[in-house]
Amino acid sequence: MVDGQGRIRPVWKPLLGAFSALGYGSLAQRARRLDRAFEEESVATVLEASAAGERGRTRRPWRCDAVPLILTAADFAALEAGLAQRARLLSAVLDDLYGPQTLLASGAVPARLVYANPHYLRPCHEPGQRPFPRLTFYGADLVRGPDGRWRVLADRCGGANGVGFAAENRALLGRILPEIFRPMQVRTLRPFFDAWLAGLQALAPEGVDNPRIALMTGGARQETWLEHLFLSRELGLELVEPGDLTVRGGEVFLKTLRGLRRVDVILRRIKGSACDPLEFEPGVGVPGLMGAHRAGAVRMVNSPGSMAAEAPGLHPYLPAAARQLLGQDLDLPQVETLWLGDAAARERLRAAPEAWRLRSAFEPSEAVRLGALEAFAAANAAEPWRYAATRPVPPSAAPTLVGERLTPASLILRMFLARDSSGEWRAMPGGLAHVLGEAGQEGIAMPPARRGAAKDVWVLTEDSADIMGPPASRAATLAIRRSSGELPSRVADEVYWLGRYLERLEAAARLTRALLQRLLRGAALPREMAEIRILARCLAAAGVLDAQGAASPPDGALLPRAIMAAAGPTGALLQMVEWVERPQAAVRDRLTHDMWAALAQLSQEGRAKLGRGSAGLDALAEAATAIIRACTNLAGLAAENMVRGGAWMFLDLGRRIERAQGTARSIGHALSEPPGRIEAGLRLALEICDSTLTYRARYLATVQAAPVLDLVLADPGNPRALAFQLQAVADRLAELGEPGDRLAVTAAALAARPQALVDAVRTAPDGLVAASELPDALLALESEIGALSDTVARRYVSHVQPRALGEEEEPAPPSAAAGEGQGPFTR
Amino acid sequence: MTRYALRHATLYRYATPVDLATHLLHLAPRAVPGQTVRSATLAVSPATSFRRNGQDHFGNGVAWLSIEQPHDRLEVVLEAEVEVAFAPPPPPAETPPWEEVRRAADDLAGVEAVEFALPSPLAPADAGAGTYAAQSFPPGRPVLAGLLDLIARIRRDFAFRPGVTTISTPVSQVLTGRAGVCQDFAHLMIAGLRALGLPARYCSGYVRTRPPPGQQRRQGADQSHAWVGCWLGPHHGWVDLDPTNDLVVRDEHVLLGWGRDYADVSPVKGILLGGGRQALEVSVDLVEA
Repeated sequence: MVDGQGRIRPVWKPLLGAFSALGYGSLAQRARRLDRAFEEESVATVLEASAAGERGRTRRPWRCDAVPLILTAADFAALEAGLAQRARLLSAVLDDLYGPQTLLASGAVPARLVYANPHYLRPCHEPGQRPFPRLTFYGADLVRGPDGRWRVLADRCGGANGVGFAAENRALLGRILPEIFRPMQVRTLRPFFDAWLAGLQALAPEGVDNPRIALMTGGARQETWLEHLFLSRELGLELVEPGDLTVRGGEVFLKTLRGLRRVDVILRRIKGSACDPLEFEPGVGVPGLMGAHRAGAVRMVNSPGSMAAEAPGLHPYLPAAARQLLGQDLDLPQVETLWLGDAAARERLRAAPEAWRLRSAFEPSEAVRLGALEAFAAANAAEPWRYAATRPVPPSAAPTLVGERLTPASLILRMFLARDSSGEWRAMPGGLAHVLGEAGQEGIAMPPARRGAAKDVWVLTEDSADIMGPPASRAATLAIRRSSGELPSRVADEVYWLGRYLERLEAAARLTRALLQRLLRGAALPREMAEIRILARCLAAAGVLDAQGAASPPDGALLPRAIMAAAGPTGALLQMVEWVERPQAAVRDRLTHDMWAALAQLSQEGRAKLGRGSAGLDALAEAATAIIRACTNLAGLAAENMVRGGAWMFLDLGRRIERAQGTARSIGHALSEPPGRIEAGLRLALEICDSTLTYRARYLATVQAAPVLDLVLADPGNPRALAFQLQAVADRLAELGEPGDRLAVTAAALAARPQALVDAVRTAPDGLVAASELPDALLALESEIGALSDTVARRYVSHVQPRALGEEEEPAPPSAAAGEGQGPFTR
Repeated sequence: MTRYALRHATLYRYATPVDLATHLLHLAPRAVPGQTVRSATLAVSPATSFRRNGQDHFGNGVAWLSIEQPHDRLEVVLEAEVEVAFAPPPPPAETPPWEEVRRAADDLAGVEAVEFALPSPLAPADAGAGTYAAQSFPPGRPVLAGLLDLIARIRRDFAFRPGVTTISTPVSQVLTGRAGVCQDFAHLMIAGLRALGLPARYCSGYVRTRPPPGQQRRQGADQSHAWVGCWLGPHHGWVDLDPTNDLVVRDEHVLLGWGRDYADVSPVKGILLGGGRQALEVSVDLVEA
């Protein structure tokens, strides 16, 4: 920020002016808002915590410094030119190493360095020319030395993560600190993404006008998933997991509810070796994908195997490779690196071991334990070709906000480049900087594995002409579409279970609250005792209470203890909250922001209120109410904000099937009383179905079997009645299937059953007796609904795991989609 | 020159139908100096929906295919006519000391060999295998002399016993168990040579079903066979040695191809959707035509 004489560099002056105008107190406040915004955005930290818990480590929330890193137009132009040259070089290196291998034949690159690299994927080596480039996206980690020059620290040819986060940093910083953008012309990121997208479209095979481009992610349980989500939004691409794709007849298809849809281009964001279990590592990926890619039927970028170009051990050979392949010298300096497979390099290391930092020859961010350096000094290092050594560079500092003060902190910068539709490399006018913290003190030789806060990167422009409009896109005019039948089957599966789990949680919370309200009233009347007994039975049937707790006397101390346990930190209710969290992460890209926020809130509140454990019965009643409210809020959002497409249909289908089963079951248990005591059951049936007010409005205080059962079972206008659920299930299945669909017909037949049950009660000589005979029929209906649900799952949402020839049959590995069969319910 | 008729049939039966199968086959005899492929056909049943032939990283012929109809058996039959007459190796004494070969592997002259001096998943850098192999390589010994000694020792020290090992049995276990099949001996020898810094590659192929008149039956007939390609330095190049039979490969073997280890050239690979339990039958006939 300051030059050699301690004067503030002119480029920072407008920003510092904006900070002063805002006041450092408010700036610190905004910085806290920025943190919170990331927490909200970055998938409810709750979810991350639960996912991380499974893996036994915690994830830190993403943080972005309020102070950006500023690059002048001239700085950026030099970086862009140097990095574009480097991208051209690495692209040519990959084409050579996976093709004619002239670099090996000439000795410019040692063959051992290439063949020992685990990221050199042999199935990607082919004699002919590729019909499309291997490298179309590239990132570089840079460090600025004391001389003010940027040097390349590491190349990122595999994924170059962070580009999605960079866009997200910019968006949130702009939302929360709009003032600081005003005094300067900061280049926007949008044109870069437009150019990148145009470049991807241009990759499509000849004759494909409106190519389907998918971003392939490893799924919501991977650390990089959020980045993929941001990126898919920025580029407007379909986010798919390997399980969503299939190869047929040598072409790649997305499995949707309406059948297979051809995929033309894949922006690959999973490891190359995880692409295809037939040719790479067993177990993961899409069988045959590499073959389709090889034949050019699908264009996967970056090509699998691109990570081979990231090897730090390759650095010392890049200048010679540039001369051989490009006829040029490298413009942008790189940190000085030795590959220790070379005897002369080992000699240099031995001469001054303290001047070097050991690192993996193949992994850009992997440091090597100290003992290895001693082995090199003693000249007895085993397999020296696994290592590289880099001379560290003291990184320069830039201002960072700490509390209410600007403090200098050293940092590294990641920049991103993509090929546009004309094949030119374009750098994103921005990037992702990371504060180094202590790691920077003794100089930096490689990007640290763990990073500090991120920084937005601003590229200034002197000239508004730099702010370009979107390039002409190759995409043809889009036809209007209103159907969403192309929902990937996996998403249908996840959304369906989200609907079921939400409803299951809400129903459990309603029953729990009803029981708690009665327990809290203290000494109970005989009628209330009956209600408590019935509710305990319903809660046991719903899997909240265990059978023993449910059977304990309604006025003793055991029942309150049992319900406390069920609502406590290890109880069934909290587990139901966890079930809701499972599918939601995987379908985040299908939910609106508000729905997402509401789900996150449900998780947070549910965990906070249920996790306390020792709180009293009234606190639990409050927790149940909070859960019920959050669930109703979500149902409202789904009803009002979700387009009536595939995702909504499956969410609704899940919810309705679950509620139909739950209602049939609970009313069945409520009516399992002798005729003389059945009135309590009828009142509870009204309460469970949230229909007490409606009943009173219709029939005043007189409780009779037929009117009650009509309202909770058969009334097609009551959204809590059993018939309403079954009719909705029939409607959804009819919408999903062909006319006359067998499942829809079955569901419609089930939907007529509640009316028949009510008619039987209405025409019986004694309604109460007839009502007390209903439980068997209701529980039978529940299991028929369960059978329907199984058939639905088999047709629309079940997944089969592929396995290798010669592999013994084993229990399928738990997939992201599989629910691991928790609790008393089968999924 | 010996002319052979080759038939290699692989049959998989599945307990429940496989809905979708994707396969990668390394089942094409390789044309190399010393081996002429007169004809080769690869028949696959049921009918394939997709099939493409090509070459792998090592230059071996491969076929990629998919079967997209439900099927409960997969049959792959290779039939070929092949003539073999591999040139005799140089006199052992004329080959360079093994240390020189090790050095040459890292020179530009060794660019085709160095890959096979590196550890690979099924032939890792195993210290035990290195110690075992080192006994055949005292300082300064001509490399081929050491190699011939090594295959004679393996033949003597290890029992050919099918069923005691699987494809995933590590070299270290073969070394302690002193028994196995051709794959195990090949992997053991390769791991040992690599531990010494010598390039060695895994060769996949067949050995003749009936022995030449007056000789005993070769081990590993009636099935896929494996042996080891050894590098004698840039001048002499590669020589193939069969540690299972203590033989220099001349006219009793037919070569499919080579890789770093079995995993690179496994004859029939596949990923299945469905299928349940699998049963495998393999038959190989390699007879003089």
